Amino acid sequence: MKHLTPTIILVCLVTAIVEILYRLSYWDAQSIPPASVILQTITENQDAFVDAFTSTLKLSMQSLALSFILGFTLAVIFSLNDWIKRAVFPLAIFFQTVPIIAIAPLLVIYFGYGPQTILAAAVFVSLFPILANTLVGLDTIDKNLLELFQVYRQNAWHTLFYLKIPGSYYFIFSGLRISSGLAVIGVVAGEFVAGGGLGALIDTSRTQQRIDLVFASLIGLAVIGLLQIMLLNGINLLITRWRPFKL
Amino acid sequence: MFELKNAGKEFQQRWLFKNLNLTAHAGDFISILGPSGCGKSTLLRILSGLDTVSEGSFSTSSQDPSGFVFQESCLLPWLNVFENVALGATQRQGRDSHAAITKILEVVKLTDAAQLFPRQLSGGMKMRVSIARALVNNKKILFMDEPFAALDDFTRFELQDELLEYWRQYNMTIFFVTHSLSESVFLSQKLWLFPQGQQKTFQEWVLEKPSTAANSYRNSAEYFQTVTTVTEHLRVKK
Repeated sequence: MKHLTPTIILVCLVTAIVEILYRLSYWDAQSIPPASVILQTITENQDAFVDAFTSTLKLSMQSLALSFILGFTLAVIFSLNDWIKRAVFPLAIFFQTVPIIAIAPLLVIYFGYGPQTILAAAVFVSLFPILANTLVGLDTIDKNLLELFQVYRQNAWHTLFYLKIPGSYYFIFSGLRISSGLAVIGVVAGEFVAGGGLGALIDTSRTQQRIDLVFASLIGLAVIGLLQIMLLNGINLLITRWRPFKL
Repeated sequence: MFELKNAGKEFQQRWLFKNLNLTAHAGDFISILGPSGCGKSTLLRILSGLDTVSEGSFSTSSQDPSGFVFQESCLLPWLNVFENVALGATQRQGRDSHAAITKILEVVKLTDAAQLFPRQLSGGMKMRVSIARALVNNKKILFMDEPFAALDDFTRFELQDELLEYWRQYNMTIFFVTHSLSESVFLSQKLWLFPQGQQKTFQEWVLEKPSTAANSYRNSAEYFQTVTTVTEHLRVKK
């Protein structure tokens, strides 16, 4: 937490300056609303805001979990079978280059309006980093350790579970961290087209010129991102306390 | 018995060695000696079955289980000492593997460290774990690839003494790769010398050794004389 102190000080300072300028009537609250206005907006629209926040948080977490399961499983399959990897992995890279905003309308056609479309959009963007990182981890295990498993005649499954997967821990985890941010982006993109959550709140606030509500939603999204990272860091701490993955 | 007949190994379009004819018998302690990059580790890998010859043949009649000790201790950071050793025990799975691991940890003096993770160990302790993993379940053949190269003198001497003790006690066959002449003379009965110094051919050197205790041999005039003789031999043009 100590290393975040300069950031926290900077944010507090900027917020305080904006607030003071606003109180002295030197700040246009219509362009960038000060903290007090945003807080007031959140209080006034508490029910709608909390609903939207919860819905986005839930879908973001669900999509991250789904991306992890899918990405991890695919990476394991790819590492076990080179042919499948060579056939499918380039397609994954190709789809990674297609912007989610361009795909989202298509997802609405396939899945309709609702959480399933939002989940699909979020998984679409957050799957790749987990898949790619896990694959790099599984494929770059120390040659000596692989030979060691060969010497002790461990079969492919044994090598996978006792060497490759634990040996890829940090790769998998860094993929999860990247995907955690992307999941929020994917959910918002999905919500723009399929409705619901903070994404839809931003969209309707935009049409009503409610800059304060847009900012409140943006802060809500940042909090979701932060919560997810904190959760992941907590899990990482628990796991690495149980088992160290570095020498 | 291990036998290489006219064996050659090509690596990246370069012949590491050619026409090698070598035989090792059960109970031998053989040091494979040579400068860096000469192919001594490759020869060890061929003997252990991790690699194959490019020409000629390699055969072994040995059915005994073998262990391999790498230059790095090669421990899995996420497994504790006991679990790391257990990796070597799965070759012969059985209910008594727990007892075998406990026994071998006692032999390498690591009983108290059984629950520690590799990052909590010193270099010497890590190497002991690696040796324990190679020895567990009464392995009769040990392949060692410069195992003590990264250790300080004191730890190295200690582990060399222990290794000789295991070799005698368990009647093992050991292939030991090293670039240290003094280490190879101290440990082994037979030297396989890759071309080095003024010598242009691969040579085998059988050492005549007294049956004195390891520690006293290290300080004996005989030991220094043998090291000097082998060194001189390598220096002199043949």
